[in-house]
Amino acid sequence: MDDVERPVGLAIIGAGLMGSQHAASAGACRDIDLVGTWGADADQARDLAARHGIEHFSSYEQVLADDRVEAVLIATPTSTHDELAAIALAAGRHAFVEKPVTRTLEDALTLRRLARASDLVLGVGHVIRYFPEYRGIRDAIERGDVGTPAVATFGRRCQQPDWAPDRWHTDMSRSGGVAVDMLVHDVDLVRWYFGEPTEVYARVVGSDRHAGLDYALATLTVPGGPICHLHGSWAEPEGFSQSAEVCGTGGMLSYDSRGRDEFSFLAHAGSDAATALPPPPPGALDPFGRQLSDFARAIRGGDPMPGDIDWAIGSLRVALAMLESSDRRDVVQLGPLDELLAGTEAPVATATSGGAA
Amino acid sequence: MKVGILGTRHVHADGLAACVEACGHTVVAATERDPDARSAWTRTPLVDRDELLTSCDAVIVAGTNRERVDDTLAATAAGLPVLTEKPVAADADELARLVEHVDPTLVMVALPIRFGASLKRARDAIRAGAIGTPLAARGTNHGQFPGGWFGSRADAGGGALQDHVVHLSDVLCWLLDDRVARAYARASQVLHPANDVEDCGVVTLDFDSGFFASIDSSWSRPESFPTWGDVWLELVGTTGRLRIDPMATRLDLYDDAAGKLRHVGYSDDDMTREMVQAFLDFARTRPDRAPVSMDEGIHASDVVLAAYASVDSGRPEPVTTR
Repeated sequence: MDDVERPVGLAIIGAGLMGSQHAASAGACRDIDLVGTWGADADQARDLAARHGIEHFSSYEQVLADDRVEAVLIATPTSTHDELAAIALAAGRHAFVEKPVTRTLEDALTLRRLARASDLVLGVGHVIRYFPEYRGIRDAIERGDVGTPAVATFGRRCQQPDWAPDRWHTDMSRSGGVAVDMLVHDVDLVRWYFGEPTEVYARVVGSDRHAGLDYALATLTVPGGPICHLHGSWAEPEGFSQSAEVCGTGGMLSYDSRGRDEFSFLAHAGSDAATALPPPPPGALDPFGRQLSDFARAIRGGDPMPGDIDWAIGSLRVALAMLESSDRRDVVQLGPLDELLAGTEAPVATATSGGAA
Repeated sequence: MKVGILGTRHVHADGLAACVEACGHTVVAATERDPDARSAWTRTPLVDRDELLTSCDAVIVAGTNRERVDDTLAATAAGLPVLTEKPVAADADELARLVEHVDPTLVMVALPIRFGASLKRARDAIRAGAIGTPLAARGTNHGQFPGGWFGSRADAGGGALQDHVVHLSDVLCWLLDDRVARAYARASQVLHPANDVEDCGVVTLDFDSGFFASIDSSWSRPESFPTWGDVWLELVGTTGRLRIDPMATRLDLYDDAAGKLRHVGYSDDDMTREMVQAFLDFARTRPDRAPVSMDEGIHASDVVLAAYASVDSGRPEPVTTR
């Protein structure tokens, strides 16, 4: 097998909701060879390893000492991303970091410097463009289906985040709340469809006040683009949903995930029939699998993945501006992204250039 | 592979030809007798049938329902693999002629729904036991009136029952490895009085296994409906409920130019193209049995004939077993 086509040996760091999602997607992805997992919650990580028949590492050091591990996928609480990614890069490992890339802009800019000082790939989980519904909206806008867009609304909703045993989402200093953790996707959409926002005004409840319950409203100004309004909720009684609406001179494009399943299965109460449900057929990669495929190809010398560190910084600064705007009750101005990134060009002294394993 | 189109008047003719080309093959020529349809067809040269049958490797039969058996038999007599539109025959007499003369190993029937990714998942789920013992199903395959010859008994042989029952009836047989034993149907002609065929119909089907299902195949979607129609299926079993909506992957476009809401699909999954690819593979490798066999197409038409018999008698009628 050509080296270019050899699957990338991957370890999943953090075995919670997103680590489990990535492990499932990696299993169906031929570009990835899932080696093992490690997480601060050892029971959770052991369960994930058992489910996928992969190694359970007892420490992060053990992960990075394993020659099979060419890359790590970091799906831990947001505030820990920067340190774990920096250690991986220093150990000569490619890193894929779940979104949001870091909790602060400074941490993201530092990671960018470390990655640029190496020849390693640093990918970030900006997965939204891999969802066909959002690509369909982009295609429709490009085709001119709605004419010139005038106002666009994007949002996502779910229940108070109670899935992490340590409830880290309820700590704003660790998660950034719904604005940073979830609306970063919708910021991606605005930037992807219309360009870079220059002004942000937002109001945010904050996830640290009511046991994780959070609600965020933001208006983004994009030069030459429509008024963009985002809404994020960790206050839905049940179920996840996402929606989008783009109104223009020619009409209105509307999407809501509720009730739009091609395939839906529910077991009757008391039945364990769901365990008999086969996984989706291989080849039909889900958005997370397609994203991992792009990450693997970038490592093997292909095109950089769309969600690279520069893109991630562009979205993170808008999300963080929402928190700042809400705190200050004022508009936050954003300068050119290029200038922000140019300020980090010089390599840092601590960067270690480790060749690809 | 060189593919010919026998008859262009079915609404799917151009789309099927486009799929052949998208699969990397050539559509060399078509036949058409109707003067208006001749001038409307721009994709290929038009030739006579004998010439077409000697100049291609496979054919797609896509004329009116009335032309279908004649074109299918001409192609199979020439030894060519055939993808034939549905229904496979316009009426009972035509179906009898098809059964008597066709070489079934050469024919695949254009029933695309089962090529949808969600349908394949459903079949896998049912076979894995996810819904337990299948009990019953409900589905709709509504449409807008397709227009033109579809409203003419002489050309189409029937209306909304003829046009759409075959899809979900066939899908259920395929999902469950079952056959339809009996059909009850009600039909009406209220929405399009200028036609001489039914425009609304609902059938209830009993299967050999005891499973039952209803299908609403009415041309009841109004002009202002956002797309041509729908196809949707819900199956209930002893351990779970399965819902399949291949058209769920869509955006709503409120379109001022069209003066109405329109659905805009975004799926990567194109069931018609998958079906055409399966036909091209079948035509090249010629396995004993087509991916949608003549036998299955004939059974689907037998179900429709039983439905029409039921409309006439007012009672459930048995489906012919052959």
